Amino acid sequence: MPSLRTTFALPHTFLAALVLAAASACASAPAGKSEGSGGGKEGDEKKQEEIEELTRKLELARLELDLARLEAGQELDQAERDLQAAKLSAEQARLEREGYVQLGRARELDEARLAVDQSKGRVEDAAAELAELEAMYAEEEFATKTKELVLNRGRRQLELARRALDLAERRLREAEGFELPKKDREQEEGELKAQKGLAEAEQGLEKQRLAQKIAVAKAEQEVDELARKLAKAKVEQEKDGKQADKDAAGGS
Amino acid sequence: MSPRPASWLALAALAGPLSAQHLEVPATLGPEEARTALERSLEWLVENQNADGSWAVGVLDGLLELGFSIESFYAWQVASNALACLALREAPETPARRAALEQGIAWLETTRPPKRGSDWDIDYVWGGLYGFTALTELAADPRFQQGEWPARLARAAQPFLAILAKNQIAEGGWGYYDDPVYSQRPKWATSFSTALVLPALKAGEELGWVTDPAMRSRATRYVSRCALPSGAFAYDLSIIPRVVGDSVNDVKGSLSRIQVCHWALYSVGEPKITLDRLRTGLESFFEHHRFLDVAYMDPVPHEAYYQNSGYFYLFGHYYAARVIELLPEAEREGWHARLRPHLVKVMRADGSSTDFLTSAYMKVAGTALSALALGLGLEPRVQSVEPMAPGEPRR
Repeated sequence: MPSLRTTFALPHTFLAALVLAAASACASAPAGKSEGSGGGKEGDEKKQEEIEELTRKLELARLELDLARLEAGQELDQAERDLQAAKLSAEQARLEREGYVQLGRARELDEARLAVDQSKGRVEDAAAELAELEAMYAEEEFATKTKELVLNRGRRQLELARRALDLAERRLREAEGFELPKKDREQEEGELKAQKGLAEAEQGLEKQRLAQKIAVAKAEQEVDELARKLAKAKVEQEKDGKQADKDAAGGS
Repeated sequence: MSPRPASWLALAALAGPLSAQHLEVPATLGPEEARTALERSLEWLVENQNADGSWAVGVLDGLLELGFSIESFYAWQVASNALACLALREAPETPARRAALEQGIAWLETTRPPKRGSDWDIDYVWGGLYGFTALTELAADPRFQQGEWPARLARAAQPFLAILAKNQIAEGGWGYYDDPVYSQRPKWATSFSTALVLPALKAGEELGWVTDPAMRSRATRYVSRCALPSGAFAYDLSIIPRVVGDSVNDVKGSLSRIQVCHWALYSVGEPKITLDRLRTGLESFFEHHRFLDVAYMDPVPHEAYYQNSGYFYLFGHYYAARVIELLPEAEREGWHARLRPHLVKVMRADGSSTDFLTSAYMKVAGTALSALALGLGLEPRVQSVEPMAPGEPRR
């Protein structure tokens, strides 16, 4: 018998059980009338239990079929979403690389070259300013203390500008020789990785389709099998009931 | 408000330890040494006048003043030309000096008025301040009160007066920068740039050139309100002047401003400025003169102690000489004798003087200020009253 919990959870199962119970009651009444026949009654009960068992299994199998279909839909949806995400990643990686190759690489290189040119300009400016200060104080016969302070500052600014130029030139060489080639490789690798991810997502979707098809087919097969067994059991029960009635009629 | 970086003659008022800067100079110099020095500086001015009557150039001629508007260099040229004319006007006359003066006046008459250089840079006000000042002083000279000179000078003064009228701030002063939000009538002024033109405004009223006396009364009030209890004059007018620490508003940062403000206020009859206050201001000037010495020829404005700038030096000495001239005659030579060594010690071998940069206009302005200061202490001034036809230079 289905439990109370199962009954509430599966009303159609409960109804099926009631039908079976009613059928069993109807079937047992004649048997009661032929209590004297002995083993016949025991056989009827066994058959009835078998039918009830098959009925429950069938109902469960149907539920599992529903579940398999639901899961199949979910898994396929997820696989399709994964595929879309992989497509987006691949497109993004392609665009990034395209942008870098067509624009970004040249910009980064130009920035490094501009920094060198700016630093050269600052060196020239600092040198020109120092020259002007030196010329000014060459004319100046009196401001000796200020002259030393100002000229020292001018010389220091020129020295710092030269060092900044050296740094900018080293940064340019570093960009040309190492950083940009490394970025080239990173961009290529990024695009290949995204393409690989896309291929894997496409394959994953196909795999899911097959797996879910199989899972649903198996569940359907199970339902069919149980339905067939239940039908057969019912036919046998009916046949046994008729034979018992016939035997009882012959005995009286 | 903090002091603003250089303005040419950004003649402000301010100083540092020792020198201009290592010279051993006597404590006083007599008139004869001063006359010799004056002759050298006047000779430099005459020799360095351009063929068209101008001095210097109206464009940037060095890297150290990059950043100002293009127009400002022309405005500073105009202002330095006005000072050169003033120096020649005060000079003992020679044919060459008279000719140079008349050519210089002719250039001031015909050159275009300076214009505002940018939203923030209104250094063209310097052209208005010294252009107008020079023309009023020339108008007071008997040599230029004859023939067509009065009319010419009156006509020439109008563009400079227009600059002043357009740029007097609501509080009454004149400055040379504007602050955001930028406006046609600026909003910032300084005590010293306002003070230097006060006596000229009074003279302009007497000449009939200035028809709105409120212009001077507003300006006088502005300068008066910059006076601080210490005896210093604030760099600019503010509700609560900054006076703590190494402030430009300390007396040691105000040495040159004190002189121009005293001279101006006394000249227009401000009763609070007494002879004793003039003397006190001059004593401060000499007592703390080392702060001006240290800032001398520092190309970075307001870098020295008490935010003194190099360009305070000659400006302050000129107005100190003018203050001395306000004292009783018997006192003057003593003060001039103390002032002269500080002018002579910074005069170059060629007779020129500058205190900040060696830009052409700075040299003209510096040399003119030096000549004016030296000349004020020398009596009698020899001037011809012989009329001279305009356009007939004698040199």
